[in-house]
Amino acid sequence: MNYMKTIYVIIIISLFTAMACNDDYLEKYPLDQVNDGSFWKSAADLAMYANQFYPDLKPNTERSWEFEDPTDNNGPSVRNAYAWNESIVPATGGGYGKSDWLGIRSCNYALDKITTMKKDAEVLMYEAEIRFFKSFYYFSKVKSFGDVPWFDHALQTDSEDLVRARDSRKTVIANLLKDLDFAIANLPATSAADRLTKWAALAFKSRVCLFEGTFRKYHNLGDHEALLRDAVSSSESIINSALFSVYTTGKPNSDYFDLFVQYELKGNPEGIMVQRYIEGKRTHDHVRQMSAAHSGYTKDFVEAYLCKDGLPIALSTLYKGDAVFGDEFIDRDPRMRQSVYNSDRPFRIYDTGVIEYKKMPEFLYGNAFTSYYILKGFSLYERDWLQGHATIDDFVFRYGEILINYAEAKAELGEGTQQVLDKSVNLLRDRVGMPHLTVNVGFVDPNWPNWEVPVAPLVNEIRRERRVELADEGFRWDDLMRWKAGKLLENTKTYLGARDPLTSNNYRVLYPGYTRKWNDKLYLHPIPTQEIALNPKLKQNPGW
Amino acid sequence: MPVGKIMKIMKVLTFVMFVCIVHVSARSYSQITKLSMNMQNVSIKQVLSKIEDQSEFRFLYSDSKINVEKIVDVDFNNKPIEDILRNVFEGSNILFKVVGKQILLSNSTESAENTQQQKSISGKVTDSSGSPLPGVTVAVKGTTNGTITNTNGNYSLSNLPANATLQFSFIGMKSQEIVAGNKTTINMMLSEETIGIEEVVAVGYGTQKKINLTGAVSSVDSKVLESRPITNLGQGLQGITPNLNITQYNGAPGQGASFNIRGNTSINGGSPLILVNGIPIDPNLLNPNDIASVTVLKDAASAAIYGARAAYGVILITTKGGKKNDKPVVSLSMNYSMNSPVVKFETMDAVERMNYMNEGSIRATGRPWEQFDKYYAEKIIAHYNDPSQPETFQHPNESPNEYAFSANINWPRELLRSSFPMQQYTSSVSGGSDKFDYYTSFSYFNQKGMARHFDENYDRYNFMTNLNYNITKWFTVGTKISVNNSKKRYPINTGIGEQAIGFYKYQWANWPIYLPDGHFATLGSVPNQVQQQEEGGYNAYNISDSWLTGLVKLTPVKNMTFNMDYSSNVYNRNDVSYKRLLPMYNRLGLAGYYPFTNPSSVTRANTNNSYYVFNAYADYENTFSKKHYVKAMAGFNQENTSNSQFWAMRQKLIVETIPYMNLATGDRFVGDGGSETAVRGAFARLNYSYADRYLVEFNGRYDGTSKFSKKDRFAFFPSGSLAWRVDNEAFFTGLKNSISMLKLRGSYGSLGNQNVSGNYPYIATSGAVAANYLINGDRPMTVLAPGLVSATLTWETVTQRNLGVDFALLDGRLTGTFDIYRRDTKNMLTRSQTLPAVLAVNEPQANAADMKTSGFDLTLDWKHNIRDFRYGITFLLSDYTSEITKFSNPSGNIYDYYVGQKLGDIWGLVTGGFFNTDAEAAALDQTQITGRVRQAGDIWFKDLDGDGKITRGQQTLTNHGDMKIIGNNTPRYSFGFKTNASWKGFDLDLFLQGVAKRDIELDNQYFTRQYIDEWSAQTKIGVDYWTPANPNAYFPRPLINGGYDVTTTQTHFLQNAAYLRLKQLTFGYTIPEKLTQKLKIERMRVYFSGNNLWEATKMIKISDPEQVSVYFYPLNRSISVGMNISF
Repeated sequence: MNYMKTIYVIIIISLFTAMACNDDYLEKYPLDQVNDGSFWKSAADLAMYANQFYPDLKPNTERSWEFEDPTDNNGPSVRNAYAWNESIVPATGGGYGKSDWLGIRSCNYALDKITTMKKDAEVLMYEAEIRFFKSFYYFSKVKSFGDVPWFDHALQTDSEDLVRARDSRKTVIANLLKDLDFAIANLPATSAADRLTKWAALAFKSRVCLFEGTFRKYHNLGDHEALLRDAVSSSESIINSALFSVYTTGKPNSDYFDLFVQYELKGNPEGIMVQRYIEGKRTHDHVRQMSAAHSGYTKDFVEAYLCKDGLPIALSTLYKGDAVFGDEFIDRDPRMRQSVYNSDRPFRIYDTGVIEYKKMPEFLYGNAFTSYYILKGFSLYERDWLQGHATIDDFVFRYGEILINYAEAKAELGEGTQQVLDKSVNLLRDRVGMPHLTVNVGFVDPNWPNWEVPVAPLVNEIRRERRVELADEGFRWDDLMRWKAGKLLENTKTYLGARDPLTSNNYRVLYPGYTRKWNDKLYLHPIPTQEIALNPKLKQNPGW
Repeated sequence: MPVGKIMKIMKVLTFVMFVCIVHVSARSYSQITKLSMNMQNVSIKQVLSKIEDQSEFRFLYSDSKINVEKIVDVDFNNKPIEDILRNVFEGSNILFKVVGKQILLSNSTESAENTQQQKSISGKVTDSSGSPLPGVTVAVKGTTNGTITNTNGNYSLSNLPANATLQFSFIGMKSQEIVAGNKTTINMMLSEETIGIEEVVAVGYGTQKKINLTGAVSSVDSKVLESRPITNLGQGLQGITPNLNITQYNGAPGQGASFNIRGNTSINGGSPLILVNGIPIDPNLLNPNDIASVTVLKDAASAAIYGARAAYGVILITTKGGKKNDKPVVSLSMNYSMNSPVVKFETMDAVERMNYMNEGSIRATGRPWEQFDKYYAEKIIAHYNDPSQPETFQHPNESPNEYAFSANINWPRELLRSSFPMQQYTSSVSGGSDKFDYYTSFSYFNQKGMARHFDENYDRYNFMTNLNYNITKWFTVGTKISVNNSKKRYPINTGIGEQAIGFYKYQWANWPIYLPDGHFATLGSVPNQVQQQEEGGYNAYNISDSWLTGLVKLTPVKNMTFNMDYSSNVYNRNDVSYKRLLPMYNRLGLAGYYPFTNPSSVTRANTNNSYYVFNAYADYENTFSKKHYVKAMAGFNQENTSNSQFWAMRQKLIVETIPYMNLATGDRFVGDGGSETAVRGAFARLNYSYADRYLVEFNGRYDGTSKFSKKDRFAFFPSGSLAWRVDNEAFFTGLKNSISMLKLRGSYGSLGNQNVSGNYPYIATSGAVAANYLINGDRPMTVLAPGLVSATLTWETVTQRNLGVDFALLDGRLTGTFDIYRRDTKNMLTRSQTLPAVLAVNEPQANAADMKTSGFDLTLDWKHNIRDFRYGITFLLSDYTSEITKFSNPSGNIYDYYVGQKLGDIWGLVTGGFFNTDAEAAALDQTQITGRVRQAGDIWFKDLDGDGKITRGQQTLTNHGDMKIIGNNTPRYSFGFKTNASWKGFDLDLFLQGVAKRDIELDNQYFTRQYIDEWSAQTKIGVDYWTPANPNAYFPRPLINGGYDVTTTQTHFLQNAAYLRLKQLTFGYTIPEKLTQKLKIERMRVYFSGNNLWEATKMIKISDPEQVSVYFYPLNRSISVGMNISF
């Protein structure tokens, strides 16, 4: 029996000592994750990596019209805290948080990896995409904060760059334009898969250069001319390619509205780059019923539309006044009826075929307290109202913008000729049947905005054209910033609505008891306090 | 399942278990036990001791009266005990009597010598629960006259001397003496030995006599878990052991509790290692009735044997087993209770909300709330004053196809029940023969939920069997099987989860449930919650958790055991999420479908985890020269786990009521994942004690984990402890009468902690997701950049010092334990120093922080009997605080860790009050707190730094503006007060528990949120807001979107979360045996019990002081009736 005992004990002890010596037992590796060793092998890897940036071009959660709530175009139901100077310096975040810098880091991470790859044409093409996105992210940083640190590599915990002072906006813009030029040189001319093309990069360059050129000009920073020339040349490349044109079916009273409620924009001649929405795959929430916007156009905005004769309301005999809602739509630029709701067109069209009209003006229930409902971009059809279910496609870069960029840049350079106007803004006016803009303008509008830096009549009219054509597409705030036009927000019409019969037919006051004061500090956003505490070389933007 | 049906099932099950096992040991021990021995020329004493060695028989006799020195020869083969004894005592004057396993020896001459005595006495002996105690020795002090109680606990003695003192003694019970006096009947109740020499507690890989413990160890037995309406083990253990801190964050059916020992161990959080029979099982899945004992290893020295996973302490749970040579005991228990939420949700009624929103909107925009124009006001007030007025109307400015709403619905009452049932049934059979013991139990637990329009249901089934079989005297094999199955069905809460209350948003009082045409009323795009509960589909899961353990125990040589066990666990969880298309209605009829429900879908997910544990350890125990006690143990442990998940989803069900993917037409989505981990360690322990006075223990463990890279993988963690039994010293003998036991303890140990986030923290990996953009008409996959990792991660170490004292006073009636400790956690693996945001990703984990925690725990126990009345009082008190001793935070950011920080500190502004006038408001610059213009009725803060404006500075230690530390959310001075009393068959238990000091910043949901979010339903307490007529309101003046001065952390809204709560009140009655015996029932007890019946707290009534949140499922009060039967 003792013999048996010994055997048992020996077997058991040797069993587990044998296992204890087996070191593989503790070697465990991630089973369902990619690591760098198995990635960064081919252009296909790069393409897959670059996919992550596309949603940022225009996130499907962003509604273009919301970007104009702080501007003189829109009157939201609640005062916009930033534009009313009611926002405070945040402790963290505020556009300068970790997640806000992630895009730039992710681009740099890839650019660091690409240096180890063999650069064939395909690799260069995806490198171009990544460089495009890096410039895309940096542009939004410059717009918000002015000077920002430029990083060439993905930062590590011990990088000295972490606690560096900011680079000047000029350095950053110069660097991002290099990346953008690389993208333009290496991106393909067409992409059946709806990826970036050279034309998209040129369109973006046109936007960046116009922004920065005019910003420097009007904020007296110098070195703006070359940028304006770049804005011209990149716009010209697109125009001269003759690949794009203004969308029209010959119906001046509906083409403009129709353009923004297309279920399929792929192939649309005005689309330099479009983003698609397909049911069950990707849908959005931009265009629920008109009433759901919680915002409406302001009095100031609707007065910007010219009359059909090409004259402003102060000068045109066609203008019927605004005492009666609806009169002011008569004989105006047809884009007005296609952007602002009036009772003579359907408000909602139900699946059952029932058509509903809305009696105007209507201030109370329905969330457009100016009574100028945003019509542009809003579908009338019930199928599109459901939250998160809309499939109306959207532009990433629209040819219309490029035409106006071109005209404005040319005009800012003093090269605004009739020929320039005819190959740009007048094409947009043709679509809606408006008379052409002429170089000499031909009138002096007493209602021209009281710009802080005065501008020539032609520039005034190009700016009007831009405001009207690109209404609620998300440009207005940037435009006001670059033109140093924040003071325009002090104009009370920027927060008044239509005449309200219930209050002695006075203009509807959006926020009774409040007046808006512009503060120049708002041209740049504040840096969060924690960032300044962590990096003493980081200084706060002026005024904050 | 109806109760009747369950009972039927249980009866059948019990019968089956009974039949299987009953034949094993139907005869008595003395009949079945056969002994063999062959000894020459030995004393009777040696023979008796040999019999005790070979069997479980125990002899009871007095050395002085019984001559056991007589020399005899014995030679027997396979004879019953009675034959042997008859032979051995032949020719002596020794008489014997076998009662169960006890054999009483008496002297046949005694009765002859004492013939002159006149007196006789009789009575009954019971245990503390009133059950009769058979086999108790009843002796006349100073004589050898004595007897043993019979199976009914009765005894009778005759021939007593005039002033006789009776001694009652029984192993495991405290001996009692009583002067007989003139009494002819003496009933005696024996209580368990409080610090019985023999009391044994589980320690890591073995057991230890409680009296020999050197570390900080607490243990409780099954009694605290029985006869109460508890839903899980955590609830049952709360407040039972000092500094075992158990928190129940929500009362949703099937939700478990979280465990903590002695406070913050690491800023990473983490919970103690919980082992059930040596393997890590989720205690929330267990049936509390299966648990025999729970031991809490609090200090490093006690826990060190578990090394790398014991940094947060260890909880050892031992399940019930059978006893050898016991007749089968069948136990049944049942409990039915009604739960009702402690906190009742209330939201503003239609008029309250209208006034509130209008007031708040005028503040924000200068005009009334957009939905409450004059038309609304008129109709809402009309319906409010006269409920027969319609709940809907046609608004002149709204679409003729839409309804406008003017109802007044109390949504919380419509959606939530005020009480819901819970029931629990357990049956078990245990027993054994001389070679075999068994315990088998089955239980069913069912709990219903709060939802009024949805049958929220949780079921748990537990099956457990413990079997041990002695193959030979030195070879035992055992099997443990535990199957824990649970399933739950709960409503779809638009993604908020099963713990949360899903209706908090949007269910405004003026929104009716139904339209005049009978359809569910639709408002916006969030489903009507009654419709959602009734028609929205469901979430359900089904967990099957099975454990199988095989064990081997060898005793190759005397005093040595060798143990080996292997366990495997298969955990399988299936989830179904079934979302139905919910229609919306307007005046035209069907108006489409709620977007969150469209398309309908069914998602199935499967989680499959396997866990394998192997333990092998050997120990040796001996006493040399009667003074040197040595116990040594060494062993090996390894565990590995592999997890995998798989899910699939398909949209657009063909038939809305059939949630199967085969019957759907939409796209298919699938996903999966997997991971593996392993740990391995070797450990040893040495105990030495000298003359029961000086006790020493050393532990060491060498541990490795797959979570660190090869070079940082292994570490050694040693510990030691000392104890001094002062009461065993010679000089102490004089004090023994007042202090019956006194032990001083001290320990020091170090532990590792591998409990870090992520299974592979040292490897950088990239996630892959589908990008939300269409490329080529489809959403493409994308690979993301990996985050930052530190390549040099290694173990956190925890060193802990503990000083303790155990004492027993007043003849053992008052016992106590007091421990103070300090724990230093070094190299905590946490996010390293906060770096500028341009880093763009989270700082990698690093061994970045140190922390010190100190505290104490105290237990005082009082037990006393006054005749039949027996009572006990237990008082517990514990406390801890933690402080950061190392963290790199050069900028001194107060929202980060910093050196000297007391964990739980809350930084905030000091609320001064409300402005009385607009002028007052204009005079104080608070623009850095909120940009909105301040007016009368708004909050103002105190200007602590005197700079004339209210700021938060840079939120650093050197510049924090007007902020200061306004409180601390650590629960301080947790206490428990427990009493139990019994008299005749009645018993009463009372348990109070609480926390003496704690500050809580309530989360915003339902509280101050209505100042920054116009969409949530407003809480009822919100109506107490400032108006010129109500300047002392709790809340400031309403403001829609922008009340950031209200939601900022501040003294005014800080809650005092101290509380005292009546956790348990149980009143029971054991039906006299006389009555139950006719039914062949040995013991039958019925009881009434309540949990959380009452509390005292200053916390605002929208939150439970224990739960400290207003977003989760509330905790419940429960009232129950139950019954325990054993036969």
